[in-house]
Amino acid sequence: MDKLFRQPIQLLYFIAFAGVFAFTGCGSKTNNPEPTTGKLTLHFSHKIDNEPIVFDDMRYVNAAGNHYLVNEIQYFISDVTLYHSNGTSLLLDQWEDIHYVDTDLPETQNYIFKDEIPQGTYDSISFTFGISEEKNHSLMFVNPPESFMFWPENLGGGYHYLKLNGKWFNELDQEAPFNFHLGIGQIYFSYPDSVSSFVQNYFRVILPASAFNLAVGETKSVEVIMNVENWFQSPNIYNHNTHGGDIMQKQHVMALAVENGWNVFTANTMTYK
Amino acid sequence: MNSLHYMSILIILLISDLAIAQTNYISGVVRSSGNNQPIAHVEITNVQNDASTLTDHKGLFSIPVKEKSVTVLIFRHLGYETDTLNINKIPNEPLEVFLQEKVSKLTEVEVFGDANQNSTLLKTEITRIDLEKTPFQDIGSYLRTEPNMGGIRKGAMGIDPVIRGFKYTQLNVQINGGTKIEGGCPNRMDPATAHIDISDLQKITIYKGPYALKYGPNFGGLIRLVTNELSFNESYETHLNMMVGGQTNYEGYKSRLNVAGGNKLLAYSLSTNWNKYGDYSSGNGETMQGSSNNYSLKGQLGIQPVAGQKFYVGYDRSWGKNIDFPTLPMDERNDNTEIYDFSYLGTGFGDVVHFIRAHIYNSDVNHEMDNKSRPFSDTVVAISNIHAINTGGRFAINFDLGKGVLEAGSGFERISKDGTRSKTMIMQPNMPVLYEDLWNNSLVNNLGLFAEYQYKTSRFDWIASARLDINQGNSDPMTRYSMKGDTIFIDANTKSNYTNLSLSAGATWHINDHQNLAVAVGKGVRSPDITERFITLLPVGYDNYDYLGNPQLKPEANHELDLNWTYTNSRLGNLTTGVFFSFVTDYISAVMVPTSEVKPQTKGVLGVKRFINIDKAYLTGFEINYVTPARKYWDAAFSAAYTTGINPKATRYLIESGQVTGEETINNDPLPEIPPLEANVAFYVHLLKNQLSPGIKWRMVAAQNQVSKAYYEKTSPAFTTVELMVTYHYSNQVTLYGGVSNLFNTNYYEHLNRRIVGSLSPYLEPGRICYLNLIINL
Repeated sequence: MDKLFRQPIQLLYFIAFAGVFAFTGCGSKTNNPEPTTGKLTLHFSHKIDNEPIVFDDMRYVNAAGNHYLVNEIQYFISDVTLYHSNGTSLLLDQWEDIHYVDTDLPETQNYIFKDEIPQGTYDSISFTFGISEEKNHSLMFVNPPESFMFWPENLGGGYHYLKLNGKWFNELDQEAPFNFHLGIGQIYFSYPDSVSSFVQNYFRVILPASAFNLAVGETKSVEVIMNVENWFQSPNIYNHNTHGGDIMQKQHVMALAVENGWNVFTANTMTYK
Repeated sequence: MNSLHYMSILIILLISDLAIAQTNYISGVVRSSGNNQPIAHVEITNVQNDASTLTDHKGLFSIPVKEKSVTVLIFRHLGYETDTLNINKIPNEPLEVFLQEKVSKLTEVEVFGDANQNSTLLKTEITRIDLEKTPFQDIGSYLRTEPNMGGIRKGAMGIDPVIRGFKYTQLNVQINGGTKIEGGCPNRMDPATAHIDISDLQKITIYKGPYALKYGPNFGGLIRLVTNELSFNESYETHLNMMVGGQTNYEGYKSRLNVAGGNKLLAYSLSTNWNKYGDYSSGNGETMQGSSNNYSLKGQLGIQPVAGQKFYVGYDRSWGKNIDFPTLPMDERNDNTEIYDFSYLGTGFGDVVHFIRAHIYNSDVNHEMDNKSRPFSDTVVAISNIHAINTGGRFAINFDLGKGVLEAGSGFERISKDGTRSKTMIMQPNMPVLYEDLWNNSLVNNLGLFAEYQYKTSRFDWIASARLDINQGNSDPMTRYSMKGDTIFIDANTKSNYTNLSLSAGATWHINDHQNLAVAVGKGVRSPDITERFITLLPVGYDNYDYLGNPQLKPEANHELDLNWTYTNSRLGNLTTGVFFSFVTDYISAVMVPTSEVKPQTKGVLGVKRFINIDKAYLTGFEINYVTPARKYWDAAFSAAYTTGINPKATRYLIESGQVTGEETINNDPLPEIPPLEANVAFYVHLLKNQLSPGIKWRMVAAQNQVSKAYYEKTSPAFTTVELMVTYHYSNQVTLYGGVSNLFNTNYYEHLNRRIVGSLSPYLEPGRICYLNLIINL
C-alpha cells in the first residue's frame, strides 16, 4: 500500500474520501414514552324490529302500514367525535374523516380508526350522518363504490348521504320500487328548472347509551346499529303511498326523513384486548 | 412486407454483388498503446478509395480496400496521435493497431462527445454503427440490452433507462455536450431519451456510478447522447446519409435523410426523420398496443472563423402523435418539442489553457395526453397538457498543468413546469369541466461549480473531482379546488433550498501489460426533482397511488465504491470484471397520506402517497464482459450482469377488496424495478473477406424473484431469446443490416415492463421480428 500513496496528493484524496464515507451519520436514539392511549373501531349492523335485516324479502311493515322490503343500504358517516367525561371532545379524523357503509360490502361495515385515543371514560359518541357542507365536494371520490354515490350537480352536487333502496306494495297492491335517498335539498323558484337555494340535509347523531371506558392498549369496538324502521316513524309517520318512490327533489319529504333520523342509530359496546 | 420479402431482397443483393465484383475488406481492432484497451470511435480512412469507417465499442472495424495495390489507412482519434499504415498485401489475420495517446492525453477536446481517456471512469461507448445494426426505434430499447442496464417500458416509445437499479432523475441524461430535456409527462412517457431519434445518434457514452461530476449533478450514472455530426473539411465536401429500416410483426418503418457538408470555415447538417409503427403480436399471438408516430427536423451550423475557434448553433424540432401507452391511464396524443443550442470550443490559448468550452441551450416540450382510447372515458374524459422548459448552460476551462490536467467551470439549469388536467363528466352533461393543476408554475434552479483533476504516472491514472450545487425550487401553492372553487387541498410552503457537495476519486493501477485494477469512490448528491417536490396528486409511481410532491424533502446521496479488474491479451481477448456497492442515504420513497387530509383524484388508485426521505437503501452488483481477440473469420463476446437493492425497513400497506386496511413493516425488502441477472453470448462469422458478417446472439435473462413486497411487485419468469443478425457491405456506399430477433417466437416480457392498466397482464414484448436496415452514404 505504501507505494500506492507515494504522491502526497494521492494520499490526500483517499483520506478525503474515507472521510466522506465516515460522514454518513448516526441515527439519533429516542426513548419511547409509555403509551397512554387505546383504539376504537365502529362496526355497522342493520336491523328492522331488532332483528338483522333479511334483504329482498317483503316481510316488513312500517308504521304507516306499508309492506316493504329492503334491497340495499348505502350511506356516509363523517366527523366521528368522542365526548370525554372531563368535558373535552376528540374528533377522530387523523386518517379517515368520511366513511362509506354498504350492506353489500362487508369490508365497509368496519370503521377502524387509526387515531390514538387517550384512556378514560367517554360519555358518548356522535357523528355526522352524511357529509358536512364544507366537505361535500363533487368528484372528491374517484373510485367506486363511493363515486357511485354522487349527487347530481344541478341538485347541489357532492354525494348522497343515504341510499335506502327497496320496494313496497303500493295502493294498487303492486310491487313498486322506492329510492329513499338523502342528500342536498333544493328550494325551487320554478320546478324543476330554477333552483333558488339549496338545503344542507346532513345532521348530527348522538348515539344513545354509547358511554364506554377505554383502558391503555385497549381496542374498543362499538356496534352501531341502524334501525331501519325508525326512518319511517317518530316523529313523522312516513307513508310510501303519500310520498312516492323517489324523494331526491322533494325537500319537504327529505326534511321529514331528517327529522326521523334522530333515533335511527343505537350502539352496543364490546371490548377486545 | 413480410420476412420473406426482406430476405429475398437480401439474397438478390448478395447474389448480384457476387456476380459483379469482389470487394475486399481489411478488418481489425484498434487499441490504446497505454493500457491495451480497445478504442471506440476511431475514424479510419482508406486514402486509396476514400472509404471511411469508425471503430465500434469493441474497437473493431472493417473497411473496403482495393486488391493488388498499396493500401494506406489513416487512424484518427481526438485523444490519440494520428497513425498511418501502409499495407502492401491484404493480411490474412485481422490487424491489431495501437494508437499512442496524445501528450495532452488526459483531456478531452471533442465538442459534443467525450474523448476523455481516463481509465478509472467506468465508461461504455456505443457507436453509430452499433445502433444502425438494430431494429430498435427507441434509445431506451437499445440501452436496456447493455450489461446492468434496463428500461422501464410503459408503451410503444419512451423506454426509461435504468443503470444498476438507478432510474429517473437519479440518472443525468444530456445531449450534445449538456443540453437537457425535461419531459412533459408526469408519468415519464417521454423521458429525455424519447425526444431524440435513435437514428440521429452518432454515439452514446454511459458513465456508471457517481464519478463523472463535471457534466452535471450525477447520482447514479450519466448518459451522454451525441447527435451532432458537423465536420469541418480541408476542402468543401457534401455527404448524404440515408437510412430506411423496416420490420415485420411490429409493422412499421424508420427513415432518415441527412445532408451534411462544409469546408474549413463552415459546416452544416440538415436531417429529417419519419418513423411509424403499429401494434404487434407477442410470442403467444396476443396483440399488443404499440402504435407510434414520430417525425423530426434538425439543423446544425458550425463556423470556424479562425483555426481553433469553433461556434455551433443547432435547432431540433420533433413531434410525436398518438403513441400508445397501455400501461398508463392515458396515451400520448401530441408532443411538440423544440431544442435550441449554441456551443463554443476554443483552443490555442497558450500552454496553460488547453481549451475553453461553452454551451447554452433551451428545450421546450409541449405534451398532451388523454384517456380517450380507454374504456373509462365514457364516464370521465381527462386531458392533460403540460409545458416543460429546461434552460441551461455550461462553461468549462481546461488547464494543462504539465503533469496533470485541471478542468473547472460551472453549469446552470433552470426547469419550469406547468400542467393542467381537465375532467369532463360525460354522465352529467350539465356538470362544468373540472381543471386540476398537476404542477402549478413549478420552478427548479441549479447552479453548479465543478473541478476535475487528472494525473497520470507510468503505473497509475488518478482522477478526483468535486462539485458544488446550489439548488433552489419554488412553486405556486400546490392546490386542489372543488368544482365550486373551494380549496380542498393546499400546501403553500413550496420553497426549497439545497447546497449539495459531491465528490469522487479513483485510481487505475496498470499492474502490467495485461492487467489493470481500478478503484473509484464517490458521493453523488441529487436534489429532489420537480416531480418529487411539486407534483399534485397524480399516479406517478410504480404502485397504484396518487402521488403528492414534498417541497421539504432532503437531497438524496449515493455513496458508491467500484472495483474493476481488466485483463487484456492479444491472443486471449479482453476480460473486464467489476463489482460495486452503493449506500444511499435519505433515499426518496413515499408513505400514505390520510384520506382525511387529501383524497385521491385519479380513478382506480388506492390512495395518496407523499414523497419522503427514508434512512437508507443499499445496492450492489457485478458485471463481467469478455470479448475474443479480433480474428479473421470469427469473433465472439460474452457479458453477464446483476444488481440487487435492499430497503432495510419498508412499509407495506395491506389491501383488501381494493381498500387499504392497515400497514406493516417489512425488513430488508428488495427495491422495486431492479433488472434480473442477465447474460449475453454473441458469435459472429466474417465471410467474403469481411463483406458479409452473419452473427447469432443469445440473451438469457433469469427470473426475478427478488421483488419488493412493499410495492406488491410481481415476480417475472426467466426467458431466453435468440437473434440472428447479418451485416452486408454491398459497396462503399451501401450497407445492409438485417436479422431476425426473437427467432423462436418466445413469449416473454422484461421484468421492468409495467402491467397493462386495469389488469395484471404484463406488457409483452414482440414475438419474432424480421428486420432490415438499409444505409446509404454518399
